[in-house]
Amino acid sequence: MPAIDFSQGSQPIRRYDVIGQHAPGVNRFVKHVALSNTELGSVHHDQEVEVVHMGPPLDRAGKIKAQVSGTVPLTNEEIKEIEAWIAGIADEYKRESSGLLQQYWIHPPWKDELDPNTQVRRYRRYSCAGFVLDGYRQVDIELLQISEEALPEVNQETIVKAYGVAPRLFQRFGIVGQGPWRIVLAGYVLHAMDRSPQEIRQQAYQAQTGDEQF
Amino acid sequence: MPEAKTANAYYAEGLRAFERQLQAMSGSVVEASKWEFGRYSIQDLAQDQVVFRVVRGARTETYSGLLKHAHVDAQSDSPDAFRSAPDAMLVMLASLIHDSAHAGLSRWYVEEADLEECLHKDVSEWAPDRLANAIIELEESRDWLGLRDLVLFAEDTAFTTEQSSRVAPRLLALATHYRDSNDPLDAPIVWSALRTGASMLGPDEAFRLLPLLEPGHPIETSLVALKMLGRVFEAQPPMGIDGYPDLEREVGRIACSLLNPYAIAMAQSAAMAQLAVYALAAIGSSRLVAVAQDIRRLGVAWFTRRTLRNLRELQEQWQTRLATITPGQQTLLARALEELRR
Repeated sequence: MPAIDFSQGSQPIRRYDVIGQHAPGVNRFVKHVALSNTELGSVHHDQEVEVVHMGPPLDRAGKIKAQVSGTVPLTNEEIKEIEAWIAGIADEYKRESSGLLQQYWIHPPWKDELDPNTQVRRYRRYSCAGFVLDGYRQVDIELLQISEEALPEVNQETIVKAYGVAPRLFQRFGIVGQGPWRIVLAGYVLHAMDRSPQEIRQQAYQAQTGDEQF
Repeated sequence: MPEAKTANAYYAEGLRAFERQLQAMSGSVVEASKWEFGRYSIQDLAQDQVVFRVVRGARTETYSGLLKHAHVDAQSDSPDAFRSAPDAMLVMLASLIHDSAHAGLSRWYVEEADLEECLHKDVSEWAPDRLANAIIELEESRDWLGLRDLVLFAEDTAFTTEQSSRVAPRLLALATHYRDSNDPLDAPIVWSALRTGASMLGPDEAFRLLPLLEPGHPIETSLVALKMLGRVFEAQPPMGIDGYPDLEREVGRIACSLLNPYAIAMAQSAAMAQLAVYALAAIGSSRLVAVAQDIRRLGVAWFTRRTLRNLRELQEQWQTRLATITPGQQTLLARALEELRR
């Protein structure tokens, strides 16, 4: 299948494959996803790989330990398109000195910041999953259905586990109300990729309860 | 001989090292570091508490020796300034890590000192008017470090129209001046100043971005300026075709220079070419159709597809924003899309 767990054995990775990490000590709970920025013939569990991702901060030269991954796979032309998209928002990387929190957003998985008077776009905030999903949208691959009605409900505990953010800070990242909430979690991206390449390209995945684990 | 570092580089380097070590020590406890005005801090988001904070020019009783050393370097006008500071910072951080292991990652503060009173206050608590005034009044020759902080906060501040009219020229002037800086850590500041300043402009003020389209500076601003030009007109479409000849000429020149197979083989140039085409479309330049023909003749399928996607996105932006688009503008965009689809 296009999505794999590296603990089952070494696998190759391609450029802009999705690389995921589990939360430490929590069974198969996917805590982070990123886009591979490299192509390697064989990657083993916990091998450090170069990624472009929303850490935070948005980082085009990051490194993370690979634990799970998903591939479409992309054509060379699609890779060039994603590469050009990444170059086009290069100025929005490495804003860490302005505060990681300013660049981060959880719900919806991305959000444009606008000037309040002119409505001119300044930059885009992302969650880690949001950045990956937006990357694939650049080549018309809608990996996941992200409308609220299409997402399963998750509780406060799951959100804290997934995003490491205390409930008191939820509102700051777009999570409002009492919950349960319907928000995108990193694990959903891996399940979206755990389908045939044709299916991935033809239809956005609808996340199911429990998909936070992979 | 190690390269001389700026104060910001020295603190950022120390902080990153500290963050890495803290994360290694505590697993996933430390999720992010947060920068506040005049101070760096690392927050444990799960616990909603600050675990570490250091303030520029800081000193404490415990670490006074080390910090005095760092502080002297930070105040020095010597070109050798900060060469030894990272080591001092790292030693201090190592001490904090050692102590925090015993203290169970409770709060750590290094008290602030020796900054001007106006720089002490956490800028995130400032009213937009105070921030606007500080950006305009701080002298960059004396307070560039403080001003850098203000620039970054400005991007996340909702200024009024009146405040924006004062702040935008200043931010664009700072971007123009500091794009010649050789300090790579100034790049995010320059780009942030440019994004924020440009976002405050109306179409009739967009000419202010022309100087920032000029290539060849240590910190490249042309890509960001092009992107923001497109976004200014995307938010406020022109009332007719070819209404901004100076902008169109310059953007058209950039597009022409980049629309060749050698240039677009590189991601950066391809991105710039795409942004130039987007800007031409948003400005309402009749050059757009000829440019679309050039793209089709190039015969690079992915580039053509991406251009199509971007122009459709502009259409969607205008639809979403319920913008008033003139029939001429609609026809122009439709003709360009048709050329690209052939």
